[in-house]
Amino acid sequence: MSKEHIKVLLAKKKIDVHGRGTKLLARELRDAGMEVVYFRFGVVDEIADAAVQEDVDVVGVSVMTSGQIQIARGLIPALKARGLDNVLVIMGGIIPEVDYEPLYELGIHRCFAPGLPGGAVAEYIRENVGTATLG
Amino acid sequence: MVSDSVRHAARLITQIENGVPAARAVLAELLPHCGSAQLVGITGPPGAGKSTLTASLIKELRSQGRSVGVIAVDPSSPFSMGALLGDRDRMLEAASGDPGVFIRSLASRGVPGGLAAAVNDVVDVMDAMGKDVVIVETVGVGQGELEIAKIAHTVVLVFVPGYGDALQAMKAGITEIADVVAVNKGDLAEASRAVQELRGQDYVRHDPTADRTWVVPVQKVSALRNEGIAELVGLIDDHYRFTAQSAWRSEIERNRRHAQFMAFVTERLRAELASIDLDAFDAGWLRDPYAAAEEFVTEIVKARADRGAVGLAAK
Repeated sequence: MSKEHIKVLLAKKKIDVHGRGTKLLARELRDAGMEVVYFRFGVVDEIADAAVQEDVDVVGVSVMTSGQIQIARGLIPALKARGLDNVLVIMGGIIPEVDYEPLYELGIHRCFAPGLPGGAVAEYIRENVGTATLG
Repeated sequence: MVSDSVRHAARLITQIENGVPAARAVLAELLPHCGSAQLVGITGPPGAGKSTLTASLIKELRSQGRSVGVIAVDPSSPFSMGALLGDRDRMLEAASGDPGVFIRSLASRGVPGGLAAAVNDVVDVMDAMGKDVVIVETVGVGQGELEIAKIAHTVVLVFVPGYGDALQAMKAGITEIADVVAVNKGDLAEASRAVQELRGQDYVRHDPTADRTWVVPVQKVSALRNEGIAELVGLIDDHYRFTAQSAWRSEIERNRRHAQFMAFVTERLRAELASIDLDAFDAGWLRDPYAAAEEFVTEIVKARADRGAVGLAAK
């Protein structure tokens, strides 16, 4: 599905000082014509509240200091509880590959490892936005 | 919708942003529930601390038990049309988990005039949601600065020490629309001098409906240290009350509705005009665009005047 204005919420843990990846991605998505709401979260409900108020198409969570399983376990039900059942949810950062499958089972649509060629995330978003569901 | 359906409100705002015609019908239904929100505009140069100050205002207003809606506008890239909306990040602490706060970030999408129209409609959505105060934070550059004066009851101009001398402030041209001036970063040593210099300018606003003036107050604040914020809210409220003591308040609201009317008519007419058959050119009519335009508009105005419609005087 192609959409004229794709809005992305890019969230990074507040205690996580590693911000280069998220900022680089924010810039990349902006340059791909998307509207990116960037913010740092303390608890998962803050992501869900922001996602509903901003009415975003995509939620992206950056994880550098682990906790991805707990985040996904809280985030997906929190999004669904607010009626956001067709938002695309992606994760990126330092996530061990063994966690990918459990994360997909929890409802995360896609995990991105560091070092991907520029434009990979934007391309994935453009191809999948609007078609995803949160089961 | 009117009470607390955040999801519906948020989706309606997206429709407004995208110019979906169906949004107009919903807005018309909301109108009877509008008119009780106090509208505050926050403007000033980039980096002045508008978002951080807005966060402080949210905290102060919430401590007074007043619910808050925030519309935060950031610029779109003229090249990619993408945008990085960073205001929410600065307001997060003030709003986290609080159902009394609704924050929405908007990208300017390159059309200052068109954006002002969308902002006006989004204000109505938040007003109908029952927000006591709606804060509109502008982009910080360009024409959006002036548009805010047509939306807000009270415009707060945020300055920072070191922005320049008083002459610079006059040159910027935006002091004309300020009802309250806040000198942010008041923790800096030069802040007091900046406040003195700005106070020395004796900025006043003339009540367009009565023979009286509002002296623009200059308040030193530190959003970082949460100093001067309660005083700033007090000054905003003072101005809000001041405008109600004459017809000034209703004049502001009339101008806002007029701006909405203009935006809607312009948008509708633009669509109609775009569908004019270009064969009209060959038929000769469009070959003189000046006369064709004059005839087109005159016909509309005359048709309205002939049936005694309100709003336009026949020429």
